[in-house]
Amino acid sequence: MKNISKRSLNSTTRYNIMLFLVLVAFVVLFTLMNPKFIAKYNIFLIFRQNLPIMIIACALTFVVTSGSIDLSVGGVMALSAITYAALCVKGVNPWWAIGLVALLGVVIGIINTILIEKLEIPAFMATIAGWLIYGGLAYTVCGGPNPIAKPEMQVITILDDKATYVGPFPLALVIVVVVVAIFIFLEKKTILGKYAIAIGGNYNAAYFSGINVIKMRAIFYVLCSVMAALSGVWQVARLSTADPRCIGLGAEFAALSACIVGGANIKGGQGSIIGAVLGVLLLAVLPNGVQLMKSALPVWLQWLKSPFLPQVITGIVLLIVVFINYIIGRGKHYE
Amino acid sequence: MSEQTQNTSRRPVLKFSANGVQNLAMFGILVLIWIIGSILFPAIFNTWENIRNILVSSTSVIITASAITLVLITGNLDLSVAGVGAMSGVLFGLFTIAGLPVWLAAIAAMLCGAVSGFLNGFIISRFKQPSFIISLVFKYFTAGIALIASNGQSIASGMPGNVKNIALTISGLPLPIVYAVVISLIFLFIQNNTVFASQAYAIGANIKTARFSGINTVKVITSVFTLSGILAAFTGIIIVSRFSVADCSMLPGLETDCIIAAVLGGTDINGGRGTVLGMIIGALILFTITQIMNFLNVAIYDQNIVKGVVLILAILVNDTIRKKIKV
Repeated sequence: MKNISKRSLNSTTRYNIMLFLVLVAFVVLFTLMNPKFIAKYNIFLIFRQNLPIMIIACALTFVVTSGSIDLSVGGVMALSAITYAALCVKGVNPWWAIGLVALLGVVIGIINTILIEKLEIPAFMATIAGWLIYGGLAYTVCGGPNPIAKPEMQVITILDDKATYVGPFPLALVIVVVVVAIFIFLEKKTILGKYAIAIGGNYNAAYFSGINVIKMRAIFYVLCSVMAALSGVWQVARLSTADPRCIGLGAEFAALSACIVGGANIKGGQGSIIGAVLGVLLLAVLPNGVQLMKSALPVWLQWLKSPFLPQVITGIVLLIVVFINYIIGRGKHYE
Repeated sequence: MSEQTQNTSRRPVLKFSANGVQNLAMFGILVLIWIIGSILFPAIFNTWENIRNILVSSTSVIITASAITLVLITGNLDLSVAGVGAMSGVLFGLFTIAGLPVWLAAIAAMLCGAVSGFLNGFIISRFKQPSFIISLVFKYFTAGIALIASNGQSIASGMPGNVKNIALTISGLPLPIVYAVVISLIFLFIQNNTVFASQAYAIGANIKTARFSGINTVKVITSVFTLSGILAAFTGIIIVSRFSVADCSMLPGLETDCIIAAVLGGTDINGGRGTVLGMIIGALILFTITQIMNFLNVAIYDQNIVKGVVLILAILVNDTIRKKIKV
């Protein structure tokens, strides 16, 4: 009995608390090194830059937790960004265009479901193929490698104007909070979260206990594609160009890394939305903070200031997380 | 026993393994694509120059995928090859600029690739971690090292002229083709005739039974990944030598191309199945299609769409072959 009361928090909650403490520690450290780190501008910048990864990671957590994977999000982001810009240039109302792009996300999610669940192509291969196809289609819609940067599509740029505030908060922060709140609601208050864990934990057991596995997975894929499509729109608003070469580049692995850092198990059965959000924040704060440390760095660490550091930092954090999980025995049913 | 005698008394029939049927089917598709190309472009398609171009462009995939096929056979993935190739290429360029002789620079760069592959495989097998994540980590590491070392720019000037020696064309035969042939022959031998490969198949089929039957899984998986690191590094060096430019973003999508080639050749992404011969046929199919599309003036990004569709079709065809044809 003693043992149970001692371990009243489940492993996911404990992991999230640990992650949160690490994040806070880094924020404090970076603030001590350079007070500008905690400045309003910098914090808002982090949210504006990482909004796409954050909302994709939320949806991807469901997919990964249910034991599947979606690598097509980068391609979907590019395709939706270009489609959105092209629609705006054609004269469609930007808000309608956003709706149509979201519909595109739904269609892609359904295509993913058919490929993975009906035709039984391994999720990894099906979505890699999807990534190639949608990424290529983005160029085709764009008509070549030159970005679309017409004034017509900038109507919606107001979304990301630095002056666009809701009360005291910038729009990016509001969007992130609302989306994360919706996803936490879906996870905790509807069946989605529990079913995702059930399906990922043991597919056959979930199937035989009457869960409509294909329907649930379909919901997850559609959510993921829709979020990817909407974040494509956000990127257009932020950069005010629709460039098929850079929008969505590497988004799939960035979001996936965030999910893993946030405690999701790549084999399914473990994962939480809060963890994924903390993971995104950790992976976003580290490169930003290191960049701001500047003069505090000793000579032999000067290479840390290279603008190409984020990749390496993501790798290091992933590796550390994997080892921590190994040591504390989380995710023992790997293999 | 009686059945056996009956069999021997019958007229000997040519019998194929499942892999044989698979490879034959894929070879048929390759021939079909080749015939289509010849019909579309009768004047240029069957010239030695065209064949050489197809072969040279497929060398990087054939060389790297020789090892990747073994990695896939053990049931693992290696997403790091493009990063390893870029890292080794950039380092090779920097080593030669620093004054190392070309052969020493090449060996040093390949050692870097080997170290990356070794760590990758060791962490995956020793700590029983999913290969997807660990090789993603090494993709980040190696691509990051390539970017930081080259400072995000391509290194074009300063390399000595004899860098080109690695990928010379000797009497009309480019050396990369020779390397690809030699390496794929070595790997065909490894795959067909060594205990090592049988252990790899056993691990891919079921890692637990493999471990309980006394196979040193750590050793096998680590060696397979080290081989993949070395060959990816070699690919990067060949590319640098061919173009005399070391770029941090060379070999884009090498990992997907390798996986597509292997899957076209009948390798199972879940492990336990696959042949090097099939991979070679798959790579040739991939690059013959690419060449036809180049002749048709299909833009490079539209080729990606075709690649994606080919990948999905390849998996479906493989599944059908395995399900319908019982051999």
